[in-house]
Amino acid sequence: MKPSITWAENLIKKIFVLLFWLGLWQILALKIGKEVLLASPAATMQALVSLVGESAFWHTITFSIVRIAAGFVLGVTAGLVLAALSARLERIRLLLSPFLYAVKAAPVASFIILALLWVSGKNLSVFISFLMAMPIVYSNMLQGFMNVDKKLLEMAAVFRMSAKNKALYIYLPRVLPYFTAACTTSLGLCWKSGIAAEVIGLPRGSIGDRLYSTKLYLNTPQTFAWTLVIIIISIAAEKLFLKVLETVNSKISRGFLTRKGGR
Amino acid sequence: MEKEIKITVRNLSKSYGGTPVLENVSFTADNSRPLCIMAPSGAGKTTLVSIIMGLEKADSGSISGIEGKRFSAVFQEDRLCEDLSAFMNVAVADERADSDGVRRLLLDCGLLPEDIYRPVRELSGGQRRRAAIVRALLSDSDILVFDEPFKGLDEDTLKIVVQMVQENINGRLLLVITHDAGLPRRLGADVFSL
Repeated sequence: MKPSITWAENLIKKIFVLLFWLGLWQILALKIGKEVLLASPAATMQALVSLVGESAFWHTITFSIVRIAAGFVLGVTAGLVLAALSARLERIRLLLSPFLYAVKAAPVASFIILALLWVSGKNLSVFISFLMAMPIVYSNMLQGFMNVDKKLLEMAAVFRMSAKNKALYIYLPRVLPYFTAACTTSLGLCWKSGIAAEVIGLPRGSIGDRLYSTKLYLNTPQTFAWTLVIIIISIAAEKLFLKVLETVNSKISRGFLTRKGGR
Repeated sequence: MEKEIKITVRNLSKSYGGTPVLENVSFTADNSRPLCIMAPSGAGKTTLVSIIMGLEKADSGSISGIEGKRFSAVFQEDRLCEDLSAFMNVAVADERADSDGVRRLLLDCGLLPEDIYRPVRELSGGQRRRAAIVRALLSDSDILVFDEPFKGLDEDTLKIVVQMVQENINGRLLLVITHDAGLPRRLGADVFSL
């Protein structure tokens, strides 16, 4: 019975923490007394319920999720491929290092402004999300590839191990923790930067566009409600992504102990 | 009639940062009898087999008879994939290895049925060593290179494993690096002192 008690205890603790912050928020909102400066939790919830009821709401979040996710997937793929190439060829590593350093160091706003000249506002978040994910995945994966045990690679060379087996049994266990860390870090960053890009690019029907409108009309409860939606999607996306990775990892790990089709 | 496999090493030299590790090493080995290469620690035995297997380049000298030959090896360290079971470590080194044969040989060398499918990181040093030996024996090869293969094995296990090696050489050339003076007799091997 102990695990369920612990689970219940944890839930109570979490609810208590949540109530504490909601209470503090409510007190501050009451103290300020102006919804336009600080919307109360109740007004935010009311705005959120009214947003969810709109038919455009789901279209809006789908619009943003699809584009930011596309940029993330492209960034992860490019980072992975470039890291694999760089780990093998020092020339590529040297060639890419100034570019990646610049991408990592430059402020997101600079890229957003520049990108507006190159791509349409509609696809701006794809590009920004790509730029956020790619260098993080590249750096982490390069580190992972460089840390693969050279002695195991020698063993694989002596035994003429197939490329598939090398990738699956030597590289994968070593690089998977780096991949997971890179993806979880860049996923949140892509989402935040993607929304910021939408606020500047204002593609019609995006979360950023709706967020900007709330500022124009000084509809602070809606600003809070949209921010809450962004946070919820970010947390859900991270949890979903980790769950998918965990499932894939456990499927692969099962194959580490016996051949496909049983013993 | 077994096909003859013969390698000839001539005047092999290798140095690291100006420090000679191997100097004018020459010997011949063939598959009629295993060859034990004996030398004290630090004499360049491992460097020698790395050069023979093509993992390192010699500064000078030549090796003939290895062209087109396939190697399998027991390295000084086990070099097993830690997340894989003993069974999978053997199976992935040679995908054509028959599952029953892999299982049988792992059991023959004293691994328990439940140990065969556990990740090797959970096995003892001796069990891991035996898995590494089975991997080398079951891999399709012409030349077997064993670098201190029986270290960490107790006397009873050693007897079983040596017999297993002898039964599974299958006409291949066996080179054994060792500093155990009793091993050449156990294996019925010739000796080359480095």
